[in-house]
Amino acid sequence: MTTGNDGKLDPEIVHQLFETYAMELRAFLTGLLRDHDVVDEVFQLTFSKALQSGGHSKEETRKGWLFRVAYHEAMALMRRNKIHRKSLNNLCHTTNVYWTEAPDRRLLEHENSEQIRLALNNLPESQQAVVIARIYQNKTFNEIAQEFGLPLGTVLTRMRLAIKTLSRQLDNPADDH
Amino acid sequence: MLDSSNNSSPYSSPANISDNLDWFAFQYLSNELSEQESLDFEELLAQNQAAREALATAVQLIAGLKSIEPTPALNSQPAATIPAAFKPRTILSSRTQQGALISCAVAVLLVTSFLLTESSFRGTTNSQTVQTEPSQDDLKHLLDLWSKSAEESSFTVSLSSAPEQTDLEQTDLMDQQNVMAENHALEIPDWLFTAVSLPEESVN
Repeated sequence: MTTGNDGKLDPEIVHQLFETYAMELRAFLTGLLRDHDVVDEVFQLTFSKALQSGGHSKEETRKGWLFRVAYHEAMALMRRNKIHRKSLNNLCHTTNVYWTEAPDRRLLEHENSEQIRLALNNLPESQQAVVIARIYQNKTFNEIAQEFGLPLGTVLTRMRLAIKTLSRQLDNPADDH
Repeated sequence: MLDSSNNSSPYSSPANISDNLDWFAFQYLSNELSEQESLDFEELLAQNQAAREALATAVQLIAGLKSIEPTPALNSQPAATIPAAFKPRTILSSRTQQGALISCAVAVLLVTSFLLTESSFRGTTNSQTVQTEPSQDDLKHLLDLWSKSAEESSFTVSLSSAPEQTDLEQTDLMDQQNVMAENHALEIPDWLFTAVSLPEESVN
């Protein structure tokens, strides 16, 4: 039995959902909320909701349902707590807390780090240089363009291609280059 | 800053969305979108599971990039492609490590030599304290008292062990024992040692 008449989802299924999607869901919420305490709160609310009303979701779209619930819970919490976008942006942009704090191990598996390292090494040199300048040196794209003597559009294109390659490698580690 | 050739919202075209979700997610995450563009992307997140997954991937990607040290392969890139500010940092880090090692070694040597010097100096100063602080007269007086008391105590032992004693002798013995008791009562108390050993300045 996966669901009851009241829409509750079997705890065993919720446990499986947790095992399968917890890391990705936490990463998604971190991207939205950028505060680990708030992420934890929404994360728990989401799985509580899965227990209470996950039975209404279809099995084949359950991942999407879980992420949608998490999204709405996050937005509702931001509205309730009057967390403004500006404050999120300030936190990230001016103090760079989000990127420079120790990487959250819950968001990342060791294998992922290795995949990213390999993928970064395999990028064309021109793209590597832009990634290094942007990610490790925290330079703006304008600064990078000026430093390399390139048009801004070229720098952005290199970064976009690099992000696309790295993301694909992270999503599908078995992909060959 | 969406780097899009279209003048309208980049999310208006499904093909553009699917091709560039990773890029949009990265820009959203790194606050490179305008406020309106961010709101547009959040609307997309409400509807599009691929966009939500792209955002999760972008977070993991950036966390992963931040967690790895640039590899030697990256450091050995030609100067034209690796920013100049990046290479000296890696060179400096190895120099810094060497400097730290040398500093540690020097510090250990300094501490060791200081401890050795201090322990030998402490030994010298201790003996000097015993020899110099009390006055010579006081010490001689104390030694005399101790030697007398030792002689009397051995004399008492020999008297008490004698088998034949007259009344007079016993009376004398009692007197002597009283004297002995007084002598024992005159044992040098600790405070007297303290008083004797006080430096002259504090006594005055």
